[in-house]
This record gives sequence, C-alpha cells and structure tokens, in this order.
Amino acid sequence: MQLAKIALRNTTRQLKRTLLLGGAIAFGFFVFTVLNGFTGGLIETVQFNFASALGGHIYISGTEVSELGSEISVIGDTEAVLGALGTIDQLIASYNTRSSANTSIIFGAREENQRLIGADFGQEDKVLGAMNFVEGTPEAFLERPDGLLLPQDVIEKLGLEIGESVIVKTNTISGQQNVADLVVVGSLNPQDAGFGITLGFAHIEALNTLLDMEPNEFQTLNIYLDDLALLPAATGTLYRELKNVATVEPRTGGSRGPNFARAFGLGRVNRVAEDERWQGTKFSVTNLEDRMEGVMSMIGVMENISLIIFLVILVIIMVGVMNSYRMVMIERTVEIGTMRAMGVQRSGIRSVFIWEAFFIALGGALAGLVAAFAVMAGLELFDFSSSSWSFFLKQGHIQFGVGFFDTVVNMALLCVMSIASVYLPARSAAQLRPAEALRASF
Amino acid sequence: MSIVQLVDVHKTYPLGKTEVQAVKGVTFTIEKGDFVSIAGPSGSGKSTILNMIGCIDTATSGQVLINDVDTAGLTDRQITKLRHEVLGFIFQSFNLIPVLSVFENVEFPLLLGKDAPSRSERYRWVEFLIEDVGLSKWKDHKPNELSGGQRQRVAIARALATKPSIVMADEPTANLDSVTSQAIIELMKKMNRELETTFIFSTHDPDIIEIADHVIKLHDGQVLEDYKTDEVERGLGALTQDKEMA
Repeated sequence: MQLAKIALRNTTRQLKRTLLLGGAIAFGFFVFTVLNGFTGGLIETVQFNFASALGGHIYISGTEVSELGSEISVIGDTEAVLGALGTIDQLIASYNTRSSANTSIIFGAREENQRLIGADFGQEDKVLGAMNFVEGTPEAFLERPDGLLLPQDVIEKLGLEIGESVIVKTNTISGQQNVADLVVVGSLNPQDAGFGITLGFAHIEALNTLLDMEPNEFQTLNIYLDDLALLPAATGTLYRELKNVATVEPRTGGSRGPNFARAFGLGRVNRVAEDERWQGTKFSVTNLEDRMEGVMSMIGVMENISLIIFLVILVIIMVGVMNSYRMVMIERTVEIGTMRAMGVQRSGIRSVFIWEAFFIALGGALAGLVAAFAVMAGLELFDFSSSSWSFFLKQGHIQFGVGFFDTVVNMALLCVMSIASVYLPARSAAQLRPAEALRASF
Repeated sequence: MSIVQLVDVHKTYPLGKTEVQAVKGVTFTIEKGDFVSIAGPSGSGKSTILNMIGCIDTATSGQVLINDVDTAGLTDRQITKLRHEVLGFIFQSFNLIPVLSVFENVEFPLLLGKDAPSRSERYRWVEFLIEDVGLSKWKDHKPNELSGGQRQRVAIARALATKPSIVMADEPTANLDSVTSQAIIELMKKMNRELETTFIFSTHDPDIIEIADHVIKLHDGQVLEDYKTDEVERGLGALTQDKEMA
C-alpha cells in the first residue's frame, strides 16, 4: 500500500498537469453521463407518457362485425377478456377499460374538433392525479357523471366558461351521428398531451351512451403491470389465453398486430367482405414495447451517438494520459532508479504508475459525475411546458435516468482504459536499468 | 570474513561506435564491518565499482561476490531482493522520495518485500534511527523542508532501515560543505561501529579518505593502493595491488 500512497501523493506533484488530465477525464465523463442520463430518462419518460396516454402497459382492443357488415371497434365479449386477465393476475398492478371517439364540441355558433377518452376515473386515479388542471379540480370532475375535461386552448377557442354545457357530436360505433349534452368541469394544459394530440376526457358511461355502446362495454382494456420487465411474458400469456377462447389477431413481427389507429378507435368504419367476417369479438393484444418501437429506435440512435462521443473522448484522454506519463517517466527517472536500488521490484514501479493513473481517472470520473448530477438536477428544475417537446417531458420537466450499475461499469471502463494507456510508459519505467536511471545523480 | 569480493572485474561501456573501459581487472576484498573508502579522481571508476558492488550494474567480465554469492548468476528479481535485504544506498544527491515525510522515507524500505516487520516494531526502529541521526524534530517534514546535511542524514537512516550488511555511499559529501561533510562521515562511522554495518563510500576528498579504516585508491580503472589504515600505522604496509602492478 506504500506504493499506492506514493502514487496518490504523486498526483499532487504536478498539480496543474493532474488537474488538466483529471479535468479532461471529468469533462468526458460529464458529457457521457449527461447524455446517458438524458436517454435513460427519455425511455422512462416516454414509457410513462405512453402508459399514461394509453392507460396501461398492455392493451387489448376488439373489433366486431355489425349486422350491416361493418367493422366496429368494441369489446362485446367482456367475459373472455376478463377471464384471460385471471391468468396473469399476480402480475397486474391495475387495469382499466376505455372508450374513445373523435368528436365535435359545439358551443353556440362555434365548433371545435376534439378527441375524447372515456374512462372509469374512479379506477384510474393515477391518470386523473397526473393531469395538469388549468381550471377545475379532479374532485369536481368525479362528482359529475356528465362532466367533461377539455384542453385550455379548445375552451378559449369556444369562448367557454367552466360549468357551461356543450353539445358533443360524434359517430356511433356503427357510423350513425349522435349528440349529447356534457358539462365542462375543468380545463387541462394542452402541453401535457401525448402524441401531439390534445385529449379531452369524459366518464366512460357518458361516452358509451354517445357511441351507442352498452354501459359495461368498452373499446380497449389496458393493464398496468407491477414489473415492466415481465411485459413480454405477460403479453404472451394473455395472447395465448385469449386465443384459446376467441379470435385473436396474430402478433406478428415489426409493428405487431393491427394498426395503431384502428386498435384505439381512430380509424374509419370499414365494411368487411362477406368471406372475411367473423363471429363475436376479434381481439388484438399489443403492448408498450410495440407502441414504442419507433421512439426506442430514435433513443437507440441517441445512445449510439453518446457512446461514440464517449469513445472519441476516451481515445483523446488515453493519448493524453500516455503522452503525459512518458514525460513523467523522464522526470522521475532518478526516483525510479532510487526505488529500484532500495529493492522495489519492476512490478512495484509499474504499480506506482498504474495506481497514479487509476487515482486520476477515478478522481476525474467522480468529479465528472458530480458535475453531471449537478447539471442534471439543475435542468430538471426548468419548466419546458411551453415547448413543443412535451411528449419527451414529464409534466413539463426533463427527466434524467442514470443507472447505478451502468455508471459503475462506465467508471470502471474509464479507469481500465486509463490504466491501459499508462501501461506502456509504466512498463518502460519498470524496465529501466537502475544504474542508468541513477546516473543523473551519481 | 570477507563480505565483498571483486575478482578480475572489467567493465566496458559502449560510447557511440567505440567502447570505454571504465574498470580494468580490479580485484579486492572487503571484510565484514569495514569502513571502506574508495578513492580516486573523476573517471577513475569509483562509481562504476560501487554500482557493481551495489548490484545496480553488472560486470562485463570477472566476479562480484556478495556474501560469497556470485551476483552474475542472479535474476533481476533475485538481485532486487538482494539489494533490499543486504544493501543500503546513500546517494550524492540524497535521492529522497519527495512526496514522503522524513519518517515515511526511512520507513519505506521496511514496507517492501514479504517479511515486513509489524507496525509497532517498524515504528520503534524508524524512531530510533531518526533519533540517532538527530532528526527527531523533523520527522514529519518533507525533504524539501530540510537542509542538505539533514537530507543526507535522512538518507543514512533510510539506508540502515532494513539492517543491511553493507551500506554503499557514492560521494555522500559532494554536495555538502566541509563542516557538514565531516559530520556526515562521523555519523556514518558511528553507525558503522554501533551496528557493525560495512560502509563503502567513494570520495576524492583527502580529509575524508583518511577517516576510513580500509582505503582502496583507484586510478584509470585500476587499483592503485589497497590498505588498512591500522596496518599502515603498525608499519605493515598496503594490502596492495600496487606492488603487483609495480
């Protein structure tokens, strides 16, 4: 340990050089940690936003063929889907049912298009709690069965006041026009919308009535899991269970399952050819991963870019460390000779250099980490609600996600690379013949 | 009882396309407990011989025996171990480790190798050595806070830390004033008597040469005179290679 102590104290001998080397390492690690934290946080944020917007981690939607031969988005066979849930009961944190519709909100002579989500908000307290109310409260919404929550910009365009009634017009699931009177009880910050779509919310019974569905029917059943790591397994189990009792669209590679719009009732009412019609509900099982494929590939690109930046910085640092330690070896030639004369083995001389590089790398990495955490914490405080990147923000704030294990691995990698870059100068120092090394002093 | 033996030792250095013969067939013996001065002008081969005895350089031909062991047959690891266990070094420029305190510099050799003494044993011995060289008040200071004489005292204490059989000192007083030089040589002599350690030092200072009890005078890479001062005083004459040379 004496050699490690000498190495540690050696780092203070040429403080300026040590600070430059450590600073370069700190900067590299800072950049990498912030970028990694950003992409890590992005995954969590996007997952959260997707899950919030879609109401869960696994989504079961259904389509049926109407008497007139049209494809309608509804789950009539609720027993089949609720029965299948029992097989993954122990994995489920909660589940909810939803209906949705593209509507026109009419107030006086003004009309605005608005997508409405109908949900049982008694069950979905998390979603309601996460909403950013401009006016009104969640409690007021829960108290009114005919309550409606609209984005603030829509309310402004319509010239509405909270508590006023509006006419909501939409097509039923079979394509007939229908209207209902609903009362606006709150306004939401439009920047919190997912997918760039500003959503309005109503109670599922009210929306089902408008869509000409039974009160207990729904269009999608969404499941929150306790552990997202079990998402593929839980999805697979549900798919197999449903397939045993009903028609299920195959989970194919790529986008998996039916297109996104139809699964969430966004598509048109299509006519089904006679020979392609089916009985009962045809289910479709998708999950968060399926929906996030595009975003994940974008995040993957960002992660690769940050890795390339890290590698470039690492190479620059390695070259810097190697050159610096070549100089150090020349400066300390006499000292190396003295230590060898006193009985320090070649491996001991090597270890002094290696310990020194390790301490500088570790110190630099820790400094970079601290700086990165400080900057990330600072950035998390800023409210970017007014930006158009709300889908990548969690309630208007950037989220950073730095994994402990990843950080430790990255620090270890940095230390190993620094040690590797100092190895050649260290070996040269160890190979010095004591008499030659000491000649300067003798 | 001989502790160092050089038998017909030659050392040749390459110098560009030519070779320089630094040592030309030197033979002498040093007894255990001797206080030996290797004297001679610059370029006479003093440092080269000390380097070979100190096992930090090898002879081109001939034998260098330490405790009857021919050092030519040892591996680098064995030679390093030999240096650690048997030899101590005092350098002209002190060569203390700048980042360690006086105490840590003296303690450093004791921490090398597998048979390091216990912490308390080590502490007592280092304290004793530092006190013996008169630096108790300075034990926590760094080398750059000491005078030249004090640094050389630290170097002496460090050289004695592992209780070596032989201490090598290459011109230990060259960077010191005459009063300090005298004090350093007297300290070395005191240690030689107290610890029965063999001291071999090189110098070209005539006043210091005569303090030694065994003098080996070199000239142009050869032994000019080899005598023990007490035998000269008793009229027995030099041990001598000069007679043979004559």
